[in-house]
Amino acid sequence: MEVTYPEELLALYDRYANKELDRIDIDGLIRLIRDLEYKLEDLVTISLAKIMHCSKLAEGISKDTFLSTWYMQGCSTIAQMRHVLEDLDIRLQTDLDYLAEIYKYAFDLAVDSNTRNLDLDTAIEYWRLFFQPQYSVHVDEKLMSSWLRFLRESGKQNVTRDTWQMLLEFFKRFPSLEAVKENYNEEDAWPYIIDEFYEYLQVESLI
Amino acid sequence: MASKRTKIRIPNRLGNFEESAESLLSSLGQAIDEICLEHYPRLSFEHLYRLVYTLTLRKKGPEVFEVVELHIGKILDQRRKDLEYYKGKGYELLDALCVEWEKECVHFKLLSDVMIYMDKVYCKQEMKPETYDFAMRLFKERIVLPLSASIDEAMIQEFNNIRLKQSLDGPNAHLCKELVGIMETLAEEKDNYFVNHFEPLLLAETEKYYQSVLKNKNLDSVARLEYMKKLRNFEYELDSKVLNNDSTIKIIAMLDKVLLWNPDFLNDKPTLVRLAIDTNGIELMKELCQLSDDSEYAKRLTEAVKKCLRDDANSLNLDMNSKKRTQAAAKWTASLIELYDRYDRFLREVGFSPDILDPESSKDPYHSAGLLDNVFSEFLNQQGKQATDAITLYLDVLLKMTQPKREIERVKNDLEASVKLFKLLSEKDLFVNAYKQQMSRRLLQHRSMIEVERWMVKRIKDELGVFFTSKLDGMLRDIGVSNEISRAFKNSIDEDRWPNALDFRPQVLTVTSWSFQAPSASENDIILPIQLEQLKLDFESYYAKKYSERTLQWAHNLGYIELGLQFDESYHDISMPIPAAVICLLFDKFDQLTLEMMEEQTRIPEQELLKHLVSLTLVPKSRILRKKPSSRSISRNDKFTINYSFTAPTRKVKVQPVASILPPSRSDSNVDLVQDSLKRERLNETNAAIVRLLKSHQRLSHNDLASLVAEEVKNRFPMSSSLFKKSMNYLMEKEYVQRDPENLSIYHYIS
Repeated sequence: MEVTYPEELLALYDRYANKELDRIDIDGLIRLIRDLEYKLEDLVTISLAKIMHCSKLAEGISKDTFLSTWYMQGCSTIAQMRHVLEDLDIRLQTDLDYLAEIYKYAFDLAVDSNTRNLDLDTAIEYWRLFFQPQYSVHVDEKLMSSWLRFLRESGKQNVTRDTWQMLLEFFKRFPSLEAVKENYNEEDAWPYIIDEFYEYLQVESLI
Repeated sequence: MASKRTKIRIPNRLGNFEESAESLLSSLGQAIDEICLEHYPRLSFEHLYRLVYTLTLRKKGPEVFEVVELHIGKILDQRRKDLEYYKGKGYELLDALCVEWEKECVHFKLLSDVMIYMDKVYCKQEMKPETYDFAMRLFKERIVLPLSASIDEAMIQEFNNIRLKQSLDGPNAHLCKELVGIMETLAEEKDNYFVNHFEPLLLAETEKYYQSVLKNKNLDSVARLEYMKKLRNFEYELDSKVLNNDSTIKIIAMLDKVLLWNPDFLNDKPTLVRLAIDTNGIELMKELCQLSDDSEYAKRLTEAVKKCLRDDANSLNLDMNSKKRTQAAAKWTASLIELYDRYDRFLREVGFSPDILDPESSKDPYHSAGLLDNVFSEFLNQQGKQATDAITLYLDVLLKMTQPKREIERVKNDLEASVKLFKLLSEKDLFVNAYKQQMSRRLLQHRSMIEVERWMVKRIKDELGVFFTSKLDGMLRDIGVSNEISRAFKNSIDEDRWPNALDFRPQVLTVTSWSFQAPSASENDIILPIQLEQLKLDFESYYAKKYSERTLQWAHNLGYIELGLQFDESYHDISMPIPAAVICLLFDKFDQLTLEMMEEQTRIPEQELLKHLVSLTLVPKSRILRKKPSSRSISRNDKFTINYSFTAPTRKVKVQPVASILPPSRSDSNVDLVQDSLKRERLNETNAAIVRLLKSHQRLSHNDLASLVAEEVKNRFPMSSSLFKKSMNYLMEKEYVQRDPENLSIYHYIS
């Protein structure tokens, strides 16, 4: 079915697109985010990437995807788009399942296309974003900083998909050092690295 | 005979029709009184029979029994008053009661004879108790029940007195038996007075009695056991005499409980077991077992045996750091085997059934199925690597004893005896690795008989599986093939080209079977004495002709040379590593050499050279060379000469290569290397097992998978949670395996 996109939406595409590539590249995205009055460090920008079906930041967004996405969302102005993002931001703060979905998506978005693992520094930046107090997984700051210190001290270079995925589960189940101390069981299906972390906490007398 | 039934007419004169019922009943009452007073001459059986007959015909049954109850009751009440005099007089009360009973029984019998027509006609029809039973009930109600407290007390007292005296002599036991008989005769609706009333009391009182007897009894453990046995035997004797079978069984069962579970005996039990084991006290142990078939008791006894075994094993001292490490290890292992055999013999003789089929359902609570193996495997695995090392050292010692071709059978027996130990090691891969190291040294140095080595490898294969022995087989094959090649090579060389009196045994080893590091290039560069060099070249070309596709590399460090040397005092055959021999042979041409000259003449790298010089000049047992100045270390300016004053007690002397003269950290790396490769092998095994299992099951929960994997590898090494998780981590990263998105503790195989 042939769809006629609103003029305003087409104009918006032209504003952010790279004419040579005929798609919105990373610079265009950054401008869009700025015009939406968000910062790159805002978690909701990952939601933005997700609704625009962006699988790799470097690949940008095609014209079709951009137009159809916003058409479906019923948006043709920056103000309307901003409204959608505000809603998503609220969902990140209130809807744990949605947060988990975005968390899972973030790994694929962030991981380098020719490796399977996320490098540690990138992973840490993202964790810092995801586990801010306003979002729906509430991790005790002491636990979080112990985790990061453990990773650095044990010289880990990168983070596997399984570790990424299971860490969210771990923090959901054990949001504080006390919770870890009380209920963590190494016999459960936690990845090896989390067992190591648990032993680290014991050795360091943190629990 | 007439078909018509004729009615039997009873002659009229049999009845007392002219008298009134009241008068008849009162006559009966008088008669009862007379019977009880034993005024027998005043009574006429015929008269009384007729009287009862008449009353029966007039259907006066209820009235008759009222009269019986009234008159008998009155008399019994009187008797009871008489008996009350004996209250609290124990034996006398019981005795009087007995006498009374016997008398009344006669009276009741007589009365029931008179009442026979009533019993047969009225009681039967109306389903009422017959006269005798009716009277018995009166006896119980009028005499026994009112006096029951006193009777009980007296009886219990009698029982306890007999127990105290521990003797059945005298009338007391007999009296008790009588009383029990009386009580058993007193029927009740269900069972009898004894079962319903006295037996429970007797059980409770017996328990109390024995508990108090045992309390504070100050005896040593053996004496206590004897004492308990004595008590039990006597009680059995007493009960068999006085009580019926059922009650005897109940009392003895209760007594066993009191005896076996009294705290003093519980404390004693380990001591007794210890004593039995230490003195090979088969009988004592049998006694302990025979005391009870109770499963909890048996469990405790078995635990006590296990504890002794554990203690004994732990008391064996193993010092693997001592200088005499090998002796310590051999002694420890031999003692362990001895311990195992001793306990095995002991338990067999005691009669622990060794069946392993189904210990759970086995009726016999004493079985040794797995008992020794469980304790030993727990013990060995606590000892960790140390145990593995000790056992392999012991095997090494044994196998080296086969060399002089004597005592082969004894050594084989000892080797066979050790099988039961090493098959209990959980880290079997570690064991086989160590065994392999030592076996390679034995094979290369011809320290053992190849037939026995083969036999032993087969035993290991039988017990641990072919997985472990493929490399060992490969080593044995290499040695076998090398012997063939050696012979064929010698035949292919002209005799005059063969160096004089030289025995050359080339050993061609397949790199993959042996755990040596591949020889370095510098080893190949060593300059051999000319005859040897020629031989080496000849062999190379012979071998290349025979196996054109194979490459041959010389590993001189693994080879040995035996040199014959005449010293001032004695002649010796000295065997040493090839590089050391190359150094010694230099002295054919030179009287005195420096380190530098040796390096130049042999091209042995400096570190290697130093190592061999240490064993040739500094180790006292093999000081073939002497150096100037003589000091405890070797320096570059030292000058070396043959030490002609060398002598040794045996003709054969062995120059042992020193392990290393480098600082220990470097030499440890070899151990690490072995450890690392072991870890790698284990990880590979685990990966393979997980993939295999997930492939066939498609999906498995974390716990199921972990236990299946552990099961799969348990014949090789114990699975650890961290190894399992490392492996899972690896497999997920490589995308062989993924988690179920719905349930994160379920894994899928990704095909």
